[in-house]
Amino acid sequence: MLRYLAKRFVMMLVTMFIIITATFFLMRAIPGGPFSLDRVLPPRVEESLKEKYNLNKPIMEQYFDYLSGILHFDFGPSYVYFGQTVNEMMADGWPASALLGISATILIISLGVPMGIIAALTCNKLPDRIAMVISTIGVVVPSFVMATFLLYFFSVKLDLLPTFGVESWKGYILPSVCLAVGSVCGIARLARSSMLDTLSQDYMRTAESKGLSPARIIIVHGLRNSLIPIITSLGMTFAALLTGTFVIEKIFAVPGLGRYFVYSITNRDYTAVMALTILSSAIMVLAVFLIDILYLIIDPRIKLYEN
Amino acid sequence: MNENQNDPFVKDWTPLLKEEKNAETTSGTTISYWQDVFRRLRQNNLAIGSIFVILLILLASIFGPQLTGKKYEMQQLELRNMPPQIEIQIARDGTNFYVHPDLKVFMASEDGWVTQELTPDSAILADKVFIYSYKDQTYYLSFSGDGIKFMDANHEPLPEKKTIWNKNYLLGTDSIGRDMLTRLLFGGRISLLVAFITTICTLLIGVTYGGISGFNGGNADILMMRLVEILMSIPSTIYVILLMVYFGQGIYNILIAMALTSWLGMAQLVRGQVLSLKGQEFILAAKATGVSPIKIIFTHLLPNSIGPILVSATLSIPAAIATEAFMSFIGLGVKPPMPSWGILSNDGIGAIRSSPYQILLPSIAISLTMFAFTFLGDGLRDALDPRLRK
Repeated sequence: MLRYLAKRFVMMLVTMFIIITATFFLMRAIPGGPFSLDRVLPPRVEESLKEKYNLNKPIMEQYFDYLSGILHFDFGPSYVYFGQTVNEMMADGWPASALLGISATILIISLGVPMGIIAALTCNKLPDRIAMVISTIGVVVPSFVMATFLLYFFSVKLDLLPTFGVESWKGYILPSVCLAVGSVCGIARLARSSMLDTLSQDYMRTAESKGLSPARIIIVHGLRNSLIPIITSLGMTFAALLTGTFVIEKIFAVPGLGRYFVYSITNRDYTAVMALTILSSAIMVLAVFLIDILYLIIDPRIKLYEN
Repeated sequence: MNENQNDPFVKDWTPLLKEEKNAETTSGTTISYWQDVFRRLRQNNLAIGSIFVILLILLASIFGPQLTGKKYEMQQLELRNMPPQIEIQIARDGTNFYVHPDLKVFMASEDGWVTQELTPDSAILADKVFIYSYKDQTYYLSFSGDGIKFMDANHEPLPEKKTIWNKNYLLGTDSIGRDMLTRLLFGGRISLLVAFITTICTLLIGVTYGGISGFNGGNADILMMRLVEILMSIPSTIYVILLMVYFGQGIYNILIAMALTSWLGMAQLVRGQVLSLKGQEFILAAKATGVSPIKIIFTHLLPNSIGPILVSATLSIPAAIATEAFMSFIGLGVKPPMPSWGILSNDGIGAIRSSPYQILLPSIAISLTMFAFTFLGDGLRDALDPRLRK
């Protein structure tokens, strides 16, 4: 068990190392540095800027400097906002993104999972049909298109919610809903098919004939056994939501990581782009690792380490 | 049989003559696997409807841009933000006016052609009124707190109003006066082109990679699949974004970036299929008769896994449309002024309050295409393997 986890952990580090290396050299390979954009700098100034940011050192030395920086959780200075470090900027943007991500995840769990279970219990009846039509729409329509429709109806037509900005709690409603909609529907479909599988199992009939209450059968016997695919998808979704989503944050002008990421791409703020890539990959890789451990807790029959 | 003569069911049946009793030949028409698939697909109304919608969208985006008689980059700045439907106000002397929400007054013909803008003679800004004169008549445009009002010389609203289609620009114009219809159709061309080429690349790279990995097995397989897993652990949008930053904006670049990122799932799928088929007898037979590995992959293994590959390819089209739209939306897609549905959405989102049609039109186009391809993919999956149906 421990050996398996240790092996997975090492694999995780290797993956991260490859991602960091690939990102670093990809960003360095881009023609035109951050200082050769709009404004033409005098060569002396550009030289001293490069010296300040260690860009005139050999590339391998820069690479090792960067690696050791990351080990200390130091992502270096921003190339575009002079005098600010990437760490400071991420600390600036993360709260808004994380708040959105968490509220979206709460929506996903509290709407998606029950919706899927109800659909499975009423399979091929009216509630199931309705849930499936809604979830098909939610899965197929891309989030930014969904955002425009929701914006149009709730902010323009009905004028209930603000079009953009997160000055009050009202501002968080639409972006969280838009972030969540696709995943709510995805999770609902997953929960439905997984629950249907479980419902046809023999132990469900046993539980019923033992005279357990329907709620207990569904939650304790049914839900726990159909949780594995749900947890997998939920974990990945949560990891993706935590680091912000570019489009939703851009549409609703949420001052989060995603919007900052888009901004730093257009401004060629390489250190920021790299930091955000590494951060979101790390969270993703970590999520996969944690999901694996969760498997063991939810379903003791799973033995990962035998493989 | 005689005693059953009156039984309505039995009387239709007569025993075969001796020479007709031939159990060895098949009497019904033979249905091949693919005929069976198409028979099942035909029963799925949603999938058939989707095929028609897709054909319609394809035809519209291939031939549409030529038929509108306008160019996607052509601007008519004075007619910007023209909605698809306009409300014409008719004065007592029969002159038609169109009052634009941006506080502009246009001359219009009765059947919906907006012709020219009227310039105000003077303005009383304290009362928030513009004064126009046309054919010796004076008109007032007041824009005080309770909305925009267009009035004649007696300060009364014009007697007649009617809402008609904008004949000049059927779907209106965008914020710099370009024809929305042409841009939408041309955008469809770009979006679909990107989607189809990405899917073809996905097929080429994914099938070859997965096929080789699955067929070889062993260390090569482990190494190749580890690489896929590592690439998959980078969120794909970030990966595409990084590549686009590297390549720069442009249609060819987004094609390359998307082709490079979209084959991973296909490779895993093909590898799984190949692995499960590899152990079967007909592959052993092929090997025993000395068929070359390449030929085994392409003539035995892949044709037998065409079903899941086809379904995955169909479903990757809407995914590619969404990715392209998303990339264009954050400004890393095709280069303006070339439109794509993502660019149109990006252009339109700022004007959601004043001209909602500018964002709703591309959004509807994207949704419709996504639905059509998804339903077709689902239908194909059910038709190819009815057991998968849930």
